[in-house]
Amino acid sequence: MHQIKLNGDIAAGMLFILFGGWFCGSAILGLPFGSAFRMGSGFFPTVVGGMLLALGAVIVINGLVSQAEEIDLSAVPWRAVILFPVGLILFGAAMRPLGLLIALLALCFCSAMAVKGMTLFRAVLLSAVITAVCVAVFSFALGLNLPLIGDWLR
Amino acid sequence: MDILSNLALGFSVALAWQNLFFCFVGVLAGTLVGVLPGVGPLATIAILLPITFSMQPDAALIMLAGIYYGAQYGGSTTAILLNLPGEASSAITTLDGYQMARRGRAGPALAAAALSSFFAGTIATIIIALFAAPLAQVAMAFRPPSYFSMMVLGLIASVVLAHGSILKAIAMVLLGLLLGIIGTDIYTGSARLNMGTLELADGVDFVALAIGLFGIAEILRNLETSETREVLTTKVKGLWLSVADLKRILMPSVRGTAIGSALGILPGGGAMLASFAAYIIEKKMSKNRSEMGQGAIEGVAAPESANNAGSQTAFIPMLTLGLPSNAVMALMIGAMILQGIQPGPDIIVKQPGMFWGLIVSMWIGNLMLVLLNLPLIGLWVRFLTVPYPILVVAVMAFSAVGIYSASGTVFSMYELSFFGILGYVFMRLGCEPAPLTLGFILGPMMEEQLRRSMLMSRGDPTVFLTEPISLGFLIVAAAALLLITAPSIARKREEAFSEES
Repeated sequence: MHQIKLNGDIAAGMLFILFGGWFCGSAILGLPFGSAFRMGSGFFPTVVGGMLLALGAVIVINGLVSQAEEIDLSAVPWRAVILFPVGLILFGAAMRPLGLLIALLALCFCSAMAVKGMTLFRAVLLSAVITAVCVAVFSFALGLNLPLIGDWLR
Repeated sequence: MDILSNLALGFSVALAWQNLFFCFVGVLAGTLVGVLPGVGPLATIAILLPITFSMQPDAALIMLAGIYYGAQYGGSTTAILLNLPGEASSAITTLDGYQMARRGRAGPALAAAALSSFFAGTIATIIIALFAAPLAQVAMAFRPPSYFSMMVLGLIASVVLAHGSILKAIAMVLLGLLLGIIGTDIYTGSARLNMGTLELADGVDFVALAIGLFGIAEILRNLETSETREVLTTKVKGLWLSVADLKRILMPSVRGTAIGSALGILPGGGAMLASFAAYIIEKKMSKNRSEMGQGAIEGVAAPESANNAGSQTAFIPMLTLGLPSNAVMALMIGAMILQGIQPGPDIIVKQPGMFWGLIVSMWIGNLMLVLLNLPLIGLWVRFLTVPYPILVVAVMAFSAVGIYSASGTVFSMYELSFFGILGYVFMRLGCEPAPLTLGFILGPMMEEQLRRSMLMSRGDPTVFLTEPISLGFLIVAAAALLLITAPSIARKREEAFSEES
């Protein structure tokens, strides 16, 4: 007997089932389907979502039958996977109260630390340089209207 | 002559100083990202999209287009000098180009690449000028069912030519269609599928989706391996071609241009397929085919002319039908929509200045690339020594500022993070993001045409089969699907048989 292993096809198929199911389900539950003549806003998402759901199931079955490559999680750059969103959300949240300068520094620092083998000193230096370049390009050269210093600090 | 007056209009737009400037910026940025492996034209165009908001529409499109075809040039430089294709479409150039460089003929190889690309760019510009207007005229007569079927064909073609599993590519298209219709239903004006958030009522932020899927996902992918690049500094001498060399590259360039132009127009085609096809055909037809693979100048000229021609004729369906034939064109359509221009066959009538200006700018951009690249090759190669961490941080910062300046909400950062991680997961699972982008752009258009068709036919779905143009598109789409599935089934069966024996 062979044991079922999580391969790329099975995982991708399940992801498609999830998405298709969500679109199809929320369209059926919350939106008017209408008729073929006068389609409601739920017609297209229900049909396409259903197709995605079905296709996802086929891909999962395909993955169970064939021996696709097994998923190898050891290569995933976990630091970046966690630090990128953290940096981006910090950036967005800091913009209004603290301003572009601090928001950019936070984002750059998070992204720099996401790289393997980065030292604290180099990350700080890199953040400062890239922040300066960004401010020069966006605020001065392109004249974007983002306040450098936020509301709380004025 | 109509064409001449149109081209004159194009020149007057393209030669306006700010358009010349942005064309220059575009090809410069394109060459740079073409040289750097790991940052492609897709990610660059996505990252620079928000900056184009404040620009004139023609300047914005001219710059974005410049990035695309500029990247083809940059990619060939590293392919020849370092055996490192900066761009997927120049992968085939490494075969003969690097061999030439190893034999001390790097100069002629680079010159051949640049000249054949310029030749192809010139011919492709003429082809666009000749055929775009009549094609748009034909498309104007399309009724909703034909439009719908044309988009089906476009999506199928993108699936057929995607790498890897066809099933996954179709699923990605469907997911793109669904993501595209999140927001407000145009017929009733009511919000739908927005998970109760106000921010999603305007739909998913296209820029965040594009940067997430192509920019951030690509970085995550590159962070998997922490390889260090070795850069050998080769002195490049003798950039001039001998008469004998010029004679040798003439016919390969002509053939490459023809193949590239044809494949570029096809939905899903574009530069990469074109360069591979041109090389294979050259290997069959060239007088010096025995040298191919060992440093034949034909092996550089043919794929380089093909990928340049293909990347330019890919604009034809985008400009005349509003149909993106690849992910870069999807981004271009996105840029147009963000500028308030509805893509479709009437662009040529409503925005003649932008239309012809863009076409002429491609030729001017190609000229700039030849003049720029050959003297500056040493500088471009030096860019390869830029350490990857700097690129990572710069891309993150530019993306975030660009998106935030356009949306002004924290929510767009959630979207960017979501699509970045999702894009990475999909890449790991062998699902290409390009079909999703096409679906996302076409989703709302397809739904609209579907609803119009059904209103027209009073709910009779056979209208797609009784309308001749529509039927034609569907037949071609079905044939394409059959063609691609048949050999892959055959191959799978072959594999099964070989395992048994």
